[in-house]
Amino acid sequence: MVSAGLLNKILLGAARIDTGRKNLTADGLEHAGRLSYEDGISLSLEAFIRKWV
Amino acid sequence: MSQEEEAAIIIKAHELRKQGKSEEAEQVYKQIPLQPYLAKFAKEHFGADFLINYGWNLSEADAEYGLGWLTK
Repeated sequence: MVSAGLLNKILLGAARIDTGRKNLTADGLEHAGRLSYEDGISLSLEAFIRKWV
Repeated sequence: MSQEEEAAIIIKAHELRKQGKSEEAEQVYKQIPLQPYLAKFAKEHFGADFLINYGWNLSEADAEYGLGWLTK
């Protein structure tokens, strides 16, 4: 069974990736978009590692 | 929330993560409203209590689905 904390991290990762994807194409928001995208991927990887490794 | 406000939150949270302050960063990130489709997915797969207990900003989902969507 997956812990709620892990689900929280997965959801946060997805949210950050989605925001990053949108901001990357918005004028003046590319930097924040890239940071959000990177953090989202990091969070997702952390969740994966916590669960599977 | 404006995109500029959202960008400022992202930058602040990113800095906190770089400093190793993951939990603080998470709380800062959660100031940004969760995308409605993700909120709906989470409700369906994780339950409404999960969204409430973990302090997610559901303002955009409330606006999209109507107040009370979480408990329907």
